[in-house]
Amino acid sequence: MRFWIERLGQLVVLLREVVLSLREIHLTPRLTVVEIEKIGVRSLPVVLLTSLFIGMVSAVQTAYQIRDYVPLDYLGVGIAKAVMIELGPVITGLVVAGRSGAGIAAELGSMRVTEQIDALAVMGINPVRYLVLPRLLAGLISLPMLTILAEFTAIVASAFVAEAILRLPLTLFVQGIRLFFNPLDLMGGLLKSLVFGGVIALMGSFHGYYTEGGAAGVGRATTEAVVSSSVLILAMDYLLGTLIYG
Amino acid sequence: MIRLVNLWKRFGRKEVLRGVSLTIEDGETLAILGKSGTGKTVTLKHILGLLYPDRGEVYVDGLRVDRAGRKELYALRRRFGYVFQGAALFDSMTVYENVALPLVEQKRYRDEEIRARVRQALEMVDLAGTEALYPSELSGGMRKRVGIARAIVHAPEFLLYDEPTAGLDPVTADRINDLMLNLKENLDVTGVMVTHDLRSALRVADRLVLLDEGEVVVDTPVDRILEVTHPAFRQFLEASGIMHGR
Repeated sequence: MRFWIERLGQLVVLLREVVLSLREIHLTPRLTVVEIEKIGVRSLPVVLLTSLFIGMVSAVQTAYQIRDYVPLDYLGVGIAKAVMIELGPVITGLVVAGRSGAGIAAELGSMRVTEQIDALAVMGINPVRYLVLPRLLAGLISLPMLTILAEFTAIVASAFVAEAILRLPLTLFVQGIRLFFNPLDLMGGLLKSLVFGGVIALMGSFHGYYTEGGAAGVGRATTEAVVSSSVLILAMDYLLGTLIYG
Repeated sequence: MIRLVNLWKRFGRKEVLRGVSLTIEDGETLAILGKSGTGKTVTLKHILGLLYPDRGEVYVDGLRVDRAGRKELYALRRRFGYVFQGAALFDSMTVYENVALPLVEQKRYRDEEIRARVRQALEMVDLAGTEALYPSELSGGMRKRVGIARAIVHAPEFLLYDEPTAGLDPVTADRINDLMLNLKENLDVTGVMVTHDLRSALRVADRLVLLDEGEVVVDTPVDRILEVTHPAFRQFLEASGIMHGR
C-alpha cells in the first residue's frame, strides 16, 4: 500500500513539474519535433499495417454478424462508426503504447541509471522541461494524426474487402457512410486519441524518469509503462465513451 | 564558500549521513574519502540540491541551497561543474554537442563563442579533434575527459568530481589527476572530489576528509596525514601503500 502511495506521490510531483515547466514551453519546439518523429512518424508503418488488417477483418466479421437481420448495404456505416468511435483510437493507442511508450520508458530509464538526468540538472537545465514536456507534447500531437490515418486506412481496407469478397459495390458502401455520418463520431474518437497520446507519453516518461536499479530497473520500467498505459487507455476509453456517447 | 551543517539523510532504513558538517573555502580543493556506501556521493549531491537533507543545512556563498527556489537553484547550478563517475555523457549526442550543451541551453552565447569555448575545453583535456565522435566510440578514459570538458566549458566557480579515477588503469588515472591539478592551478576553482583513491586525493587536494558510516571522522590538511591516528584512516594509508602496516 505504501509503495502505491509513494508512486502516486511521484506522479503528482512529475505532473506539477510539467505544469511549472510550461513557462519554458518556448524552449521546446525543436525537441518536440524530434519526439514527433520518434513517436509519430516512426510508428506510422506499424499503425497503418495494423489498421489495414483491422479494416479487412471488420468487413468480413461484421457482414457475418448482421447477415440475418440487417441488409448488407449498411455494412459501410457500421464499420465506419465502429472505426471512428472505437477501433481507430483504441487500436492506435495500444499499438503506440507498445512501441513508443516502451521506447520512452527505456530511453529515460537508461538516462536515469547512467546519471544523464542528473547531468542535465547540474547544468541548470530543468530535466522535466527538456525530457518530459517535449514527449508529452509530441504524444498529444501525434496520436490524433496517427488515428486519422489509421481510420482512413481501415475504412478503405474494409471497403476493398466488401467489394472484392462480399460483392458489395463500393458506391453502396460509401453511400451508407455518407447517409449516417455524424461529426460527433469523428470528433469524439479524436478526443479519445488526444487523451491516449497524453497517457502514453506520461506513463512512459513517468516510469522511465523514476527508474531505479540499473539494467533490471530499465526493463521493469519499460514493462510497467506498457502495462499501465494499456490499462489506462482502456479505462479512459470507457470513461470518455460514457461522457461523449452515453 | 560551501558549508554543510549537520546533514542527516536516510534512504529507507539506512541512515546514510549522520550529522555531516564541512566547510570548503574559496579556492580550496577538498577530497572526501571513504569506503563504498559511506555517503560520499550523497554528500556531493546535497551541495547542488540534487538531494535534500532530512535535517541540516547546505550553504553556497551564503545561499541556503536546501531552501532555495527553482530559479535560484538553477542559477546556482550554472556556477558549478560536475564530473560524474560514469561521465554521464548523452549517448545520442556527439562529443561536440555534449560539451556545448551547457552553453547552448544558457542562450546567452553566440555560435562562434560556443565553438571557441568547446574547442578550448577539449584542448584542455587533450581531446581536440574528437568533436564528431559519439560517446560509444570513446574509451573509458576519453569519456571521463569529455565529462571534464563539459564540466569546465562554462568556466564554473566550483568543480565537483565524483570518483574521477574509478575504473581507470593507473596510467589513465594519472592523466586525469594531472588534468585536475592543471585545472585547479589554471582556473582557480573551488573543488570537491569524492574518491576512494587516496593517491589521487593526495595529488590534487589541499585537505582530506574521511567519511565513515555517514560521519566525518577525519578532517586534515594533506601535509599532516601521517599525524592522523584514526584506525579507518590508517587502513586507507596502508591499503594505498603510503604507510606500511604496523
